[in-house]
Amino acid sequence: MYWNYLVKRLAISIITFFIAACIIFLLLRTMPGDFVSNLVLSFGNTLPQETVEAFYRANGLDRPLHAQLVTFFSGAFTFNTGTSFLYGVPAGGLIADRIGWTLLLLIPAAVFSLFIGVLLGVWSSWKQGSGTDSSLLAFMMAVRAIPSYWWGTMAILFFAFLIPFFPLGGYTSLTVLDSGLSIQDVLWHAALPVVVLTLVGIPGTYYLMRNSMIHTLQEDYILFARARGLPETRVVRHAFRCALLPVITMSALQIAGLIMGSVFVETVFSWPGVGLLTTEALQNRDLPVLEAIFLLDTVAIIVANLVVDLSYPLLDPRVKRYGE
Amino acid sequence: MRKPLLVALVAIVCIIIVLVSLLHGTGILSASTTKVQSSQGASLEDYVVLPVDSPSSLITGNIMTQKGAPTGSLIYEGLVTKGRTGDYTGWLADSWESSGDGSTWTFHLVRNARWHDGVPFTSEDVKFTHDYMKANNLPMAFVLSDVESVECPDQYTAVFRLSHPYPVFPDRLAQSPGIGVYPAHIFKDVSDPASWVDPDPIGTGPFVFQDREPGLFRMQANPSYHGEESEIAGVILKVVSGIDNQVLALKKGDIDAVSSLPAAVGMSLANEENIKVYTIPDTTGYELAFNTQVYPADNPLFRKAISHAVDRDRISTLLGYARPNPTTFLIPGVAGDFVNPDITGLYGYNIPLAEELLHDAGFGKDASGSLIGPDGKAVELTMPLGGKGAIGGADEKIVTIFREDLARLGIGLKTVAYDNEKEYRKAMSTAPVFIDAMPSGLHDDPDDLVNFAYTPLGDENYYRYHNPGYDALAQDVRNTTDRESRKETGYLMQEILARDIPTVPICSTDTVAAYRTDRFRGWEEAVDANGVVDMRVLTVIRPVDASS
Repeated sequence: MYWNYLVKRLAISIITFFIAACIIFLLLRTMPGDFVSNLVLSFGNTLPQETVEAFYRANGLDRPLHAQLVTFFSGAFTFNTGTSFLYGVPAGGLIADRIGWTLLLLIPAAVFSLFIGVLLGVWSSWKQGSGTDSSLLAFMMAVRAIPSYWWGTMAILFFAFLIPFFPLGGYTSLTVLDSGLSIQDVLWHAALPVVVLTLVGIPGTYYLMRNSMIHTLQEDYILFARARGLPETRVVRHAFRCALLPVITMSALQIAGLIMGSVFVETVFSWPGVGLLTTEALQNRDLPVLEAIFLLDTVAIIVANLVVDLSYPLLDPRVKRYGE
Repeated sequence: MRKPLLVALVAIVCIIIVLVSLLHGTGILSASTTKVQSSQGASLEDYVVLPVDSPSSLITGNIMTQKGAPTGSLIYEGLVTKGRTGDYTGWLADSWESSGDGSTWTFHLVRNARWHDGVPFTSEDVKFTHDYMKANNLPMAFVLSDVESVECPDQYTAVFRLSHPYPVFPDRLAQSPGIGVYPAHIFKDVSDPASWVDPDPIGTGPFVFQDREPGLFRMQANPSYHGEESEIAGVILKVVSGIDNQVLALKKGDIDAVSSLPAAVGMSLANEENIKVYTIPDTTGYELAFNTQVYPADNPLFRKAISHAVDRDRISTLLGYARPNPTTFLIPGVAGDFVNPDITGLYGYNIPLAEELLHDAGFGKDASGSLIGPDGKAVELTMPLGGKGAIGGADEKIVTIFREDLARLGIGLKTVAYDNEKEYRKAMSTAPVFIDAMPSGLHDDPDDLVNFAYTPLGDENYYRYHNPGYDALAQDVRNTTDRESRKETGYLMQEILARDIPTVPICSTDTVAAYRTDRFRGWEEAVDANGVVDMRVLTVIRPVDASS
């Protein structure tokens, strides 16, 4: 049964990827503006039509849409979306050079925000109705409402400039040019961006964990456990296991939020990751790079959802039994 | 219970393997590699550190696919560069002359220039650059679109044969955006320049590529430079996104200078310790432009009335580091005696006169004070905002003042913002009035007045302004190389513009820059530069003397 479920989920994931790729393709081609016109109009010059046509021909943009779609799909599965208009290098290679830097921020932020969000959510639910709970709720609402780039800007202003404890931005000091990369230096530069990304990732997990715990704590078996005289800490531990399951599901969607958050955070901190690349590619209508980035984001979210779906029966025996 | 644990363990191992592979690409796992210092033994402290906005400004790919003037790259040079008062300075060209009609230009090249790998620079490189860019349909080849062929009668002479007379052809090569000369011996073996990554950019300029890391690009001073050698060890370009971060980096000492500051930021830095603010005057010109085929701007008296409703003094004060431009189109600070003195001050701010002219044009006010046109409808203008005029929010500031004055005339004003250049240009073609901004390099010569005629490409001008007499004068100015004749023709063209008013000049603004006074000095001495990442600046600045 489990293997049938696995095959079915894989098939659905592939179909989802296909549909998402079509949407990416169409959206990017209907976006106003194009690279070469923007480039030369920015100099206040009129662009000769033959230059525009030559650019379109060289990049296959003069072909019918369906022909471009076929080319797009033939490269989509290998992330070969062509050469970046702006950088003049293969878009896939460009992203491969930068994805590591993005993961350096995303993974710690994802882990920390999940951990802290879960802990705070459990605590808040345990203290439901108290001043602590209300304060935490209000704080999380404020954090959630304020965009990540504001948090990033404030972090730079307070902790890198007014109190110059951290660097202003970038991924390393200039010493990299003479002495090569230093892991300590990179981690020092990554600290503030990771803190900001973690901060913006906590509220979602916190809300879900809190609400899930409150709901679980109202179950009959919890009442029974309390009636039997179990210590409150053990009661909470029992409730925690059940309440955690929705949070695990949501963590896959959190990845999507963190990827978008990293676009702003990387731009604010001049971090050389995929986020900064996305900002630049959008501003310059660099289609091959945008296609590759959005395909990568799509794959990341699909894989995350797939992993969660497949691990659910392993985590919750009830799901596995009902499936059988 | 063992199965879930086993699955979890396998998943963790897989994730670690994937992560290590991905992080390997960053180089972080091969950290602490000892690198080679510059041959002159300079330390990082001796380098000038300047910010760039994005990684794409750091010669990614190769120079043939990059945008921008040769002065900006620091490694490559062009044949000539142009000063702010219209004088040309030779870089790779010693001297130059044209045929009587300006259709053939002969450049005599410097004889002691070498590429950074030691290969001598010759006229073959000039010819190669032209032929190669066109053969490969590279986007920047449009700069050479007027050139039919380049010939090399000898190693140090390059002859450009143009498709039509072009008396200011050096202007084309020098700025907005200008074009460099690139090494034939490197690119002749590159069959696909659009996707070739140059591992070691080789130019003739005063700075030599040294090394790079993501977000950093280091160049050292060229000890064998054919021109004036730099007094600094070199330059490091560092990616610092956003002007706010650049200002913080300047204050903290992470970078040495920054340019293109908003006026308010420039003013706020005036009292900062160890920071000096200076301006590069008249770098951008703003105009209120009319679409002369769209109602109500198709009425010459309406345009004349509006020309008296532009409060240049207030607008200049609001923009900051700006000064009113009282003439037609050419900016006095850079155009010099090309500006016709007889048409200065014709568009004085005078609301009563504007009302009178509107009345003469057949417009009148109703009981509520709204201006009613000859068609019986209330006059309301829709103005697109975007393009170069939107940089720093200049167009919105101009509109803030302009809207008040239009309201006094009973005219409503709506604005629509466009963040895309192409869409903005499309909106301009149907709007009766819009704000446009051009770099001063496009406001400094009678040749720039051709913007009001049919362009050499046969395209209509932005203003949809048609005047056969004006077009004929535009042809004359394009076919005349004599400076005095060009000036006289330019005067006549300006008289016509002053009469027909396809555009109303508003003001010119300065570029605001700031630098740290405790590191390097001489930034303000480069009077011809347009910013800080500019060869003309970096070849004159020098370290602050410890004793000074």
